[in-house]
Amino acid sequence: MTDHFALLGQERRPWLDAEAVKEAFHRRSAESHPDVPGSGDAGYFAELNAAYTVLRDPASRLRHLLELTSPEAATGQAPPPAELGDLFMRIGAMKRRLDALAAAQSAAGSPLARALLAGEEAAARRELSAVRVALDAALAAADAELRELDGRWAGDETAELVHLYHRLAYLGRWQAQSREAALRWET
Amino acid sequence: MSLIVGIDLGTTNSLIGAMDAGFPVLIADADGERLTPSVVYFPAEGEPCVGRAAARMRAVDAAATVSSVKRSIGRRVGEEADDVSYQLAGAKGEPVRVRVRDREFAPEEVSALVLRKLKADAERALEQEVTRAVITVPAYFNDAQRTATKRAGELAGMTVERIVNEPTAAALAYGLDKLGDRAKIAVFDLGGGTFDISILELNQGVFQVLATNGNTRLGGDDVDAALMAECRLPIADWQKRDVVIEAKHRLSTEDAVEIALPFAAGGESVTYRLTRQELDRIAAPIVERTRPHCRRVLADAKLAASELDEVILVGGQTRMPLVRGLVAEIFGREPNISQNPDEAVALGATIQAGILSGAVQNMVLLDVTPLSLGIETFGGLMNVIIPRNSTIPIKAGEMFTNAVAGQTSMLIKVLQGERELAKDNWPLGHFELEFERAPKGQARLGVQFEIDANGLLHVLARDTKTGAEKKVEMTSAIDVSDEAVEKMLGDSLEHAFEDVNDRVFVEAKLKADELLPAVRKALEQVGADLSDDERGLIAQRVAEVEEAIATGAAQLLKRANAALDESTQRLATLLIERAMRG
Repeated sequence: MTDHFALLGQERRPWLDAEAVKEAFHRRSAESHPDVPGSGDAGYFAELNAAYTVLRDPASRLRHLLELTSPEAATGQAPPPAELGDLFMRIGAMKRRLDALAAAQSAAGSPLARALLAGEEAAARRELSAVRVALDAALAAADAELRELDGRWAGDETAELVHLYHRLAYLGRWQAQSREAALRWET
Repeated sequence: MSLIVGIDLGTTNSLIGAMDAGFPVLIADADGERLTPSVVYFPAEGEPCVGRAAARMRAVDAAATVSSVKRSIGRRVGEEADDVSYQLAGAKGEPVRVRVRDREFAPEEVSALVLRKLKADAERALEQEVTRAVITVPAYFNDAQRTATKRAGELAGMTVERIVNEPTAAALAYGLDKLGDRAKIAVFDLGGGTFDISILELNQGVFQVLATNGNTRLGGDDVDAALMAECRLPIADWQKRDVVIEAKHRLSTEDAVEIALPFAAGGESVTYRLTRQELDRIAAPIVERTRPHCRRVLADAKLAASELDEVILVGGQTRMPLVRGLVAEIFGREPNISQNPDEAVALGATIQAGILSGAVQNMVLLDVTPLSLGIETFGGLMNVIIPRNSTIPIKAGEMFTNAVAGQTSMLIKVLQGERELAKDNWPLGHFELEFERAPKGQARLGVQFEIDANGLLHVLARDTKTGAEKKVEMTSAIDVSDEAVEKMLGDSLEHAFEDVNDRVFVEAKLKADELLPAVRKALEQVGADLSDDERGLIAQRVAEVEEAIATGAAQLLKRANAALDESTQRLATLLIERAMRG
């Protein structure tokens, strides 16, 4: 199976420096991009492209690492890890709140009706802001744990890797959702 | 490797260039001009003429003068309304055609005439045949618009080596002399007909697009139309257009202009006056429409505006101080105006041509596809196969299997866009997959979707058993954006109300039913902060609405609603103030 780490000249490890991976992708692209006459190679570039997409995101990188080293590991669908329980509830509540607000706003037919919703909108925005801060903190914490694991990694910490993978996967998804929400609700 | 030229095929103007000793150089025509208006005039007899001469004919024979044809290229009838001086033709769902003097042309055929002239100018200047070109398109152009542009080049007798996105091309021009640097930049490209915003990372010769967004129906032409709509002078449309455009240009540096048009209206002389303030007032809502795209592109690139090093302005419309102010406000920095807004894209196209021909050695462009690509699945949903802003070229595979035993074919509809429902996205085309007869779930076909460096889709089907690969020909979707048809139907139903009064009353009553409780609620919350007079006025207006409802008088109710709305403005303000105090 494809080894994305090898394609970008990276070690097979849980944690990689984002800038280093990007640099590796850029240097190799400068040579193999199909536009470059002589050394351009569309097939090879496609592989580099795919490798970069996988390695730049911590969750997909971990999943790939597991595919390569412990293919039997359970990286399929799983419920949110226990330690994310509170955040999970908070995100769900926030989504429902914003959806309700959106519905109420589109039903509001006059400036007055919309103004009546201003209080709820301001409060919802504050909550969204707080949630995003909490998500950033959770991701930073997960990244720190990843680095720590990387430091003592001997190649057989499969269970830990799987757990971190699921955590990062959920946090990544929620961050994308909250970014979308911010685009819609923040001015 | 033989010469490849770079071409900016713009809505308003087109340019052509070639590399010369390591530098991109734009080529002038016989009059010494580097800009060629993208205008074609079709005389009753003889060859069509292109450029400034054609632009002059707009005054005399607007119906036979085709300009801004880029707004129609690659589009189907019904996609959106258009407003041009010449005729458009075609049945619903078919590609838009241009009609001049009882002949019909595809928009790309008109563009090909512009390209032919550029080609001839280049051949004369370079003293060699020109057969290969790089042509630019707005980054947000979809597959059909890119394909049509490519076809225009081919009709003009050139091989189109690459279709390049305009903001990316401008980035190449900007970064040509900064190859040792690392930077994150945004390119804000507001031209005559289209708007693009792209965010790139420059890293020692590698130009990587991180995200791109835009609107292919937003540009200077819209400002011109708005100015024309407000111009009350008794002059012909073509005169209005010329005078508002001149005023607009001059107001970039002057505060007010007066343009005299002697012998304009039936022998009399008229004067067009416009101030910078008036222009800004009229243009502001149009220019504001760029803001959501800027926010979206920053979010997609996962960057804050403060993390950018520069915001580069490109496109004639960015000369407006209003636009510059807006960009400064959105991005929190003064925009970079070092690039010639009219020429940067053409220079960039020329550089890309140089990269492809080997004349330029140490630069490479990693562009992205602007729109998500997907297929329609059960429940009418859009299943994304290649997400927007994926670096191209890119391949993605999907496995299809027969849903019932013995199924021999499956129709796959391919779409581009970001909406959840398939029907809200732009239909690229469809194709049929053929299965061998097999029990349910046993026949498997792998389909590979590839978006090439031009941003064009290619589909390959592979039989997993035999390994045989087959290029899949896609049929362009003919059933017109069902939306457009439904809208047309909806519009006609709107007028089905026999008694217009009936309909007006029903609408007004709906509004009153919503307004009255809202007023009550608002009074509960902040009514105490109003003066007695204000409260009294509101009470009176409420009574008037209730009375109008009782009498069933439509116009009366409409007016009463409006009056009540107005009297509650203060309530609305108080509510918002209270909300902001937290």
